[in-house]
Amino acid sequence: MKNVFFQTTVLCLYCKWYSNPAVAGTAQFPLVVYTPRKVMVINMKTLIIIKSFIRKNIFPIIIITLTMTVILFILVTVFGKLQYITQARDIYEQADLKNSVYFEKSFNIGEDFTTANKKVEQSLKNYSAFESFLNTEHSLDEYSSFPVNKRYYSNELIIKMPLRLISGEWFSDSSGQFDAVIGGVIWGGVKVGDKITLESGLTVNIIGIMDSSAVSPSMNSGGSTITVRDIFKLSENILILNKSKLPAEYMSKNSSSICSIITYKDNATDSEKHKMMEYLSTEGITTEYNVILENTNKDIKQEISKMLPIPLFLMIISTISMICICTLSIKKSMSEHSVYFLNGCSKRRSVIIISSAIMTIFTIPCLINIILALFFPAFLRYNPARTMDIIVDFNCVIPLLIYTIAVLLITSLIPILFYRKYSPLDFYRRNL
Amino acid sequence: MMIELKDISKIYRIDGKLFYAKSTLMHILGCLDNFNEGDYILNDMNISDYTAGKIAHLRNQFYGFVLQDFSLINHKTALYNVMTPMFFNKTPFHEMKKRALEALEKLGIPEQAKKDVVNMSGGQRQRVAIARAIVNNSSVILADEPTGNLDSVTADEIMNIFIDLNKEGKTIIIVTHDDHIASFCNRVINISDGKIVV
Repeated sequence: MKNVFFQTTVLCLYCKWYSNPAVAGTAQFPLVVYTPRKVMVINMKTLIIIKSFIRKNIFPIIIITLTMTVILFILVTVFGKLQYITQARDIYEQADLKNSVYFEKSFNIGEDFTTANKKVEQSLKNYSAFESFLNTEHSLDEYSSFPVNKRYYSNELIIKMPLRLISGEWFSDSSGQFDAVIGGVIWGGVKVGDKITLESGLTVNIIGIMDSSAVSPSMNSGGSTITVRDIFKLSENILILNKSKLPAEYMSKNSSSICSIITYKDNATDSEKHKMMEYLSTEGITTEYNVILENTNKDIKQEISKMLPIPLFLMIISTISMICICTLSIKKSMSEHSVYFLNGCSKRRSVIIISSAIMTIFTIPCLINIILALFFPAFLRYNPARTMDIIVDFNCVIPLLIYTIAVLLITSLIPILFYRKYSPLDFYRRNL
Repeated sequence: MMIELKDISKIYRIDGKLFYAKSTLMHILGCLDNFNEGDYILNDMNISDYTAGKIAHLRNQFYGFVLQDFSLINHKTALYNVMTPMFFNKTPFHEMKKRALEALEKLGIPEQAKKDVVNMSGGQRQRVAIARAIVNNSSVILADEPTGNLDSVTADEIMNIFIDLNKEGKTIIIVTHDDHIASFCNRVINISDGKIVV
């Protein structure tokens, strides 16, 4: 049963397979050889030869496995970091914020920034260019003993900056008073439509769920050079509510974000905008939308130039080493394969055996890293990814697979090139 | 030159001095080497028309090889070595071990089955090689200096095994320049300067 399982399910490769059922093990005159096309199965017999290759080259294989695991881990991490930066930029670009400035209020010592921000918002209403004052308010709560960051978004923010959801819907006019969108890693079993009660007694209806690795606006202080990384952070167990619909008692003890996004009207004249900017510059620091994007792109380039050289260098060196190790392993197995040739193994089959063995070697680190990438958010359950500024998810598996397949193809070419160069007799002679 | 091996149940000896292309002829006969000129007709079929895969299949089903250096996988057991040809044909996996043990028993070394080849004597290794050559019930055994690395007593034992196999109907083609072997053979093909002289 076990053999049948291996013979039928392990791996099928379409190739020419030569069979002569009439003389299987009983060669007689006249010998009839014909070549029907069949699906060749990597069966138990082939697996034994693959196992033999692996056992003979166990140390090089351990080195390859470890090196490959580290390389793929670096690849996943670098890609995760890039994904974090680019995801925030994409949301910012897609949001309706072209007529906006990022505003950071200058606070006096001891001044409450929630009150100060509200004061600025009130003053801005006197300017004809002013359209909306976007910031978030937040308070802490708990769900199943995990801390939850409740975020309160205004109607304007909800409209201008819809966030990426993996299920459900973003807020709309028809959303209810206690409708909420959740994001982060603690909401394992919660589904759209569920009603959940937080530690504070607040019961909300879940209408949307963000990806555990999605970013949301946090509007932090970024100094003189603002990038989207200051505006967005990874959603560390957040629950978003529409503050415009909530009763006033829920809003009294909330803190506002340090910074805000201030939008101005499309039809505002330059002088109207100028007046508003003059006022804002007396209250704090403003950064234009385009400047933020420019800063972000510069930041991404800098990050890439900082992040990539060392991992790339390591990857190139390790890839070359792995290819060399594979070549040596194949050379080392030549004597064994010369005996197989003598006993009826074709060049093609030999290549398939060695390539399959190499494939097995590369599959292990690839699987380790895929598991790591897919379960990364769960690993960070008690330590949200926000602190690491990387997004490791299924998207990171794609470059991992591309790299593995590329290395696999290169290493699979080695036996093909080798076997093109030498005849069976050369293998036999090399064994002498 | 033309060699016609019509009588399949004989022991042929390919004889000649060193570097007279005896082994090359055997390699061509065993489909291990290519040839530039002429034809190799096997059962009315020209080998040149065969693809590499067909030739590999032919090596597996039709020929058994016994070589001077034994050509065994040294770090593997005798059993694994005898099973080797069956990896490349349709012998059911569960039958491989049984058939390999039968072959080893026939050669008188069943107790050596689980011993690594590297730990065996020259005579035992050659017996393992012969067991491997017969395990597929091949019709022709090609032996290239099979007794070259053996002492005279063991060499005689090996030749007696070949005689027994010949009696069972197998064709044995032995390449050697050892005149003592001639007494065991039915026909001698003498090669000189790449040509058959006798």
